[in-house]
Amino acid sequence: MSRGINLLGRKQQTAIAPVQTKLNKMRAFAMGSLFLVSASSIIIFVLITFSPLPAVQRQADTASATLAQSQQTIAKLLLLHDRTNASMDIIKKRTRFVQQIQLITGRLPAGVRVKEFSLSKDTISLTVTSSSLAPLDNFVNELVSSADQKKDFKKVALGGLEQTDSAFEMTMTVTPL
Amino acid sequence: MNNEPWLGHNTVQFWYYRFKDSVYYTWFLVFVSLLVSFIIIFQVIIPQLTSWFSITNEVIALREKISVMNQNINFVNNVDPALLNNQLQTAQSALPAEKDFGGVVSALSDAAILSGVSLSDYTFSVGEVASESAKISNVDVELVIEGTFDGTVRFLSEIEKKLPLAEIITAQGDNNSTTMKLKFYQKAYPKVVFHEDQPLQPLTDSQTALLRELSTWQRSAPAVPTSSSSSAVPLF
Repeated sequence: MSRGINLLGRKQQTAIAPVQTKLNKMRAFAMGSLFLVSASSIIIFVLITFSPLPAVQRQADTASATLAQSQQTIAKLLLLHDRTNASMDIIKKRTRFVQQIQLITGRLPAGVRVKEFSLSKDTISLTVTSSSLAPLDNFVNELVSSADQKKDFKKVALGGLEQTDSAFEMTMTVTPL
Repeated sequence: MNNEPWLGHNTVQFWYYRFKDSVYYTWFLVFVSLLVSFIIIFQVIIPQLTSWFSITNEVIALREKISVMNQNINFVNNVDPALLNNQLQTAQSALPAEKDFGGVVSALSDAAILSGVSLSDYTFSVGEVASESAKISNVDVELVIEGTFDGTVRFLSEIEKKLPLAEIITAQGDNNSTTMKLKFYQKAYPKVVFHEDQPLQPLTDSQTALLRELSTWQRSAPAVPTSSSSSAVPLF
């Protein structure tokens, strides 16, 4: 008897073909992925729709409006920063002539006085006068020793020594550090 | 005679059922499902995700901006307006926005009075009338003072502590008079641009110290030294 035409055949004998099973699995997979993709799309759409961006933007606008009311104070603050920074730069960069002169005059021995002076950015030229050579010698030695130690001066150069009727005059150029 | 084996053999319904019962129907479903999935992924999900990430980034950036703005609001609310005005006035006296000839003359006069020397001659070099914004420019002054060497040193010391800020360029003299070149600084108002997301900085300690020092340099009616001789009377 042929099993193919047995309409009342046993169920275990009518097993689904493996190709059909594979097809069913593929179909389930395809449907599942379509569902997942659609669901993800809807979830992302909902997330975008209900994002906190508009609320945060409103907060930013409010803060911006509040800040705009203090515009004048802010401008003053920024201007104050600008002026103080520029002033600081100027004070830092300007040549400290007074300090440099005081460093020199602080070493002047008794009996020696400044007769002429000239200050420029790099050098200080002095003509000092004294009735005796000894204090002038001490003064020069003090300056030279300070320049040797690179303490206050970089260089001390003697311009000349002249004797007038009553005093000795010495010309020198000092280069501050 | 009709040659159709079944009734409705050529209708769409017939072909549909025939196709639905065939193996191609499943293949078709799989193909269409995957195709639609791909289309949704590339046409909807990826643009949506990009949009989502950009929204998230924008929210993060906006929250940071709000935080900075709130800090700025708090900072501005805590600023003492009187103190700020005083400090700004001091800073502007130190570095005026325009050529402050009156301030220069006052500074020279005050320095002369305090150091016991007299001003005998002075010349202003105006320089650029309109300076480029935010650039430091200066008024050059050449002057002759009459006084001793010590008086001149005191004058130099005083002028360094006067407003507007000045710099000594050269000085040349003897025990009777000194010729010097000074530079008084000025700075045009900068274009103040404030970005809301830029945090406002409080004054640093060095800036506060400088302003305190500058305020002591500000012009106050100087007491004329009682010991000054008639030769030390300033011209102004």
